[in-house]
Amino acid sequence: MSRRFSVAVTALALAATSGCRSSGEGLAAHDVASVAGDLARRTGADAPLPAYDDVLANARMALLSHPLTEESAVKLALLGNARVRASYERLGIARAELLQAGLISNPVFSASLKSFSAGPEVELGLAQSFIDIFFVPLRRQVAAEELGAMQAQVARDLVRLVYDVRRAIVRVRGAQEVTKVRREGLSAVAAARELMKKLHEAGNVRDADLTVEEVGAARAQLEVDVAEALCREARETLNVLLGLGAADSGWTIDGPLPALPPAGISGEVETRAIATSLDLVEQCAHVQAALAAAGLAQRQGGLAHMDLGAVGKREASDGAWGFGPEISTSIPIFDTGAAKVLAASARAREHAARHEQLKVEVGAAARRFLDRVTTLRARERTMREIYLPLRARLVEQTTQSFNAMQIGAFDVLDAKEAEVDARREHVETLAAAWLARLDLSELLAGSLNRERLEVFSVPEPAERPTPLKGH
Amino acid sequence: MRTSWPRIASFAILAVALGYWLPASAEDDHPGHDQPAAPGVPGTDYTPVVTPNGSTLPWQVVDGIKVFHLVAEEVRHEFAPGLIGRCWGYNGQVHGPTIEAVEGDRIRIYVTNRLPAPTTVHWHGLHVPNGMDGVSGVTQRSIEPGETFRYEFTLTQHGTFMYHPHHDEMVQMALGMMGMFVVHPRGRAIPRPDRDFVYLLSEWKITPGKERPDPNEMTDFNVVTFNGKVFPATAPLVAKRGDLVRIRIGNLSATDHHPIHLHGHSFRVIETDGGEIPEAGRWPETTVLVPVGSTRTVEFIAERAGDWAFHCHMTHHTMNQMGHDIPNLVGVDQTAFDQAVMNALAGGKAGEGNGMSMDMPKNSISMLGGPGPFGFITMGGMFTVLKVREDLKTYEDPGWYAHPDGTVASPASDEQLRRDGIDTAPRPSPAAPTPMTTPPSAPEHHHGGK
Ligand SMILES: [Cu+2]
Repeated sequence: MSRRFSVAVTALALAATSGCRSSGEGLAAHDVASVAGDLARRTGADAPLPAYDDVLANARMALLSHPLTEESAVKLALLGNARVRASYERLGIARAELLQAGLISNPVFSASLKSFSAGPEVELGLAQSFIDIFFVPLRRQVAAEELGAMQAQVARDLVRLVYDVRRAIVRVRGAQEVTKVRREGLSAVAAARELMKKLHEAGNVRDADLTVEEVGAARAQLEVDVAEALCREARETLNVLLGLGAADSGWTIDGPLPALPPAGISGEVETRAIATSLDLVEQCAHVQAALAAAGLAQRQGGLAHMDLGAVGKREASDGAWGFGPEISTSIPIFDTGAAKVLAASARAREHAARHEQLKVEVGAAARRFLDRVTTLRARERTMREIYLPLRARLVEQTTQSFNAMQIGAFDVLDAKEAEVDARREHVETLAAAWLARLDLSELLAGSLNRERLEVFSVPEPAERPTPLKGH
Repeated sequence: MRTSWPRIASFAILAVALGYWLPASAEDDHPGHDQPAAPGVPGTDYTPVVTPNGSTLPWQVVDGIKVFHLVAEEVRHEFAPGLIGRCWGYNGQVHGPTIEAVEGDRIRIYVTNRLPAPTTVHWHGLHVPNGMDGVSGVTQRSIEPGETFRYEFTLTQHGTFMYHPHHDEMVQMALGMMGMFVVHPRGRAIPRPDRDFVYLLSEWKITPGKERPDPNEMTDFNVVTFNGKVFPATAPLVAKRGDLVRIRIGNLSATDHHPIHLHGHSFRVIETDGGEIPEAGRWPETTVLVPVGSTRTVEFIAERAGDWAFHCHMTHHTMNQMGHDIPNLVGVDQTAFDQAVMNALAGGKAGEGNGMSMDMPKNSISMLGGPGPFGFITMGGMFTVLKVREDLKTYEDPGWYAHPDGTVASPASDEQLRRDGIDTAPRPSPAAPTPMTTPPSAPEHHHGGK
C-alpha cells in the first residue's frame, strides 16, 4: 500500500470515527435497532450494538478476563467485529438512498450577457425539471424496497456471523479435545517404545522390534503435531470472527464439547426454514423493487426530460425587458422508452424466478441439514453408548489376558492405542454433530449458508480392533 | 495236507506249559481264554488300586460275569479351583473311572452314549475278540447318541491298560474321554504291592477366559494333567516307609510324551501295556518316559521318609495355563516394567484411581502351584508329592513332612563361609544388565502381582 493511500485511509477512518460514527447514531438508527432486535429473536443471542474505542476496549477486557463461552464470544463478535459495523453502514447507505429518491431536482437559474454596439443584451432564466414531480413516488417505492432488501441482507449476514462464531467455538473445543486424546495415544506408544528399549538393552528383542515401536511413537508424535496445528487454526478463525488482534488472542476456552441437547431439532423444518428465510425476504424485496422500477419505466415512457420555467430578456437595441414562460421537453419519437420498459419488466421476472428457485433451495437445504443432524446424532449416540464402552471393555479384557501372561505388554498397549483412537473418533463425531446442528439452526434462523451445504465429512473411523492374541 | 493228531496234542501241551511260565501276554495259551474263571474278589485276589483324584468303576456279578456300565457324557470338570472345563468324560467324571478286574474274569461293559456325537470305546492293550476292539468303522459301527452298546470278553492278560474312544479321537480325547484299565494277575506268586497307584497323563488347551478345551490344538498345550488335575489340586501319594509301592502310568496325551520323575528313590519299570518286563530287562531309573499311547508301571520300596516330588520333567509341563507368545522379560526390572505399562494404560495418570485392572480372565488359574511349608511352590501342572512317613495310621494326607533338625538346607553363616574358604564377593561381569528382580512375596508369574 502506498504511503499516500494509507494516509488517505487513515484520514477516512478518522473522519468516520470522529464524526457520525455509527448508523446507530445517524440516519438509520431505527433500522439498526430493528435489525439488532430481529437478530436477537432469530439467534437467541444477546445482540449488542457495535462499540468503539474505550467502550469496546473495556467490554473486551471484561469479556476476555474469563474463559470464553459461546455467549461471551458472540457478544465479543457483535461488539467488536468490524464486519458488523460495515453491515450496519450498508443500512445507512440504503436509508440515504431512499431519502435521495424522495427529493426533486433543484431549479436551474441561467443568465447570459451579450455585448452589441447598441448595448448589452441580457437573458435570465429559471427552469425547474417538472418530470420529477410525477416520478418521485415511484422512485421512492423502488428505494424503499431496496432498503427492505438491505435490511434482510444485513440481518442474514449477522445471523451468519453468530453461527460462524458458534461453529468456531465447537471447532476449538473439538480440536483441543482431539489434541488431548492424541497426546494420550502418544503417551501409550511412547511407553511401549521405552519398554521395548529396555528389552532391547537386555538383549531380548531384535533391532527391528525396537524399530517397530519407534516408528509407532514417531507416527503418534506426527498426529499430535497435526492436532496442535489444527487447534491453532481453529483459534485463528475465531480470532478473526471476534475481531481480535494478536494482543488479545490469548483467550482460553475451557471444557470439552458439551453433550448434544437431549431433544433434537424436529418439526416441519422445511416449512419453518422457508417461513423464516432472510434470503427469501431479500429476494422478495428485490422482486418488489424491480416491479416498481418496471412501473416507473412504464410511466416515463420516452419522456426523459421536461422543464418548466420563466425567462426574461433585455433587448440590446432599446434596453426593454421582456418576460415570459418557457417549456422544454424531449419528444419521444426515436426513443419511446419501450426498450427500458422491456428491460425493467424482464428484470422483475428474473428476480421472481430467482425467488422461486431460492425457495426450492431453502427447502432442500432444510431437508439435507436435518438428515445430517439425524445421522450424526444417531452415530454419536451409538459411539457413546455402545461403541466406546465396548472398546473400553476390550482394553480391560486384554489387560486381564496380559495379567495372566497370555499376551505381552505391547499387545495390551496396542489395544489401549486403538481405544484412544476410538475416543478421538467420538470427539470428532460429536463435533460434526454439533456443527450439523448449528448449520440447521442457522438455516432456521434465516440464513442459507451454501458453503456449509457443501461441507459434510464424517470423521475418519478408528482402527478396527484386532483379535485378541493368546488364542 | 495231513497233520497227525499226536503232533497237535504235543504242541498243545507245550503251549499250555509255556503259558504257565511265560508272561501273560501269550494270550492264546492262557487257560482262562475262553473258559472264564470265577470273578476275582478284591482283597482276596488282589489289592485294589488307588486312583489319586479319581475313582474305580463299580461292578456287580451277574451269572458269573462282572458287569460294568460306562456312560459317556459331558462333564463340568475342575482342573484346580478356579479352572473349570466343559469336558467330555465318563460317569460324570474326567477322566473316566478306573476299570479294575482280574485276569480270567469274564466282563461285560455296557456303554451308554449321552454325548451329542457318536462314539465307541477301544480297550487299549487288551486282547479282545476283534469285534470287541471298538474301532469305529473297522470292527463295529459307532454308538449313536442315546444308544447303549454291550462289550463282553474274557480277560486273558494282566497288567496296566487304558480305554478311550476310537471314533473322532482327536476331538473326544482332547475333551477328556479316557480311563485306565487295570487287570490283576490271578493266583500268581508275584508280590502284591502295599500301595498301587494309577495315573493317566493327558494334555489340554484351555486359554484363560475360555471354558471349552480346544481340540484343534496340536502342539501348544497349556494344561497338563495327572488324572485330570493340575497342581495344586493333584492329590499326594502316601506310603509308609518300607511299603512296596507300584505306580502305573498311562499316557493318552495328544502329542507329548512325558518323562515322569521321582525324587529320593530309584525304581524299576516292571511292565508296559505290552506285558511284564522280564527281571533281566529291568534296570534302575529315576525317570520313566511314558510315550503317547503307552503305559509304564514302576515299582520301588518307599525307603526314605519325606515329601518327595513326583513330576513330569518337561519344564513347561509343570506350568498352568502358560502363555507362550509373550516377550522375554528376563534381565529387565519387571516391577518397573509393569508399572510403566500400568501408567500407560491409565493415560499417564497413574495413581488417580484410573489405572489398569489387576483382574485375571475368568476361569483361569495361577501359572504356578500354591503355598508350601517353605514358601510358594513354583510348580504347577504335572506335579505332586510322594509322602513317605515312618508311622501312618491311615493313608490319608499326613500333611507336610517334619524334618529332623539340621537336615534342611539353610542360609550359610559367615563363620561357615570363612571356615570353608568360600568367597561370595561379587565378581565383575562382562555384561552387567539390569538385575532381574522377582516379586518378593508372590512369585505367581502374574503381571501386576495379583
Ligand atoms: Cu510332560
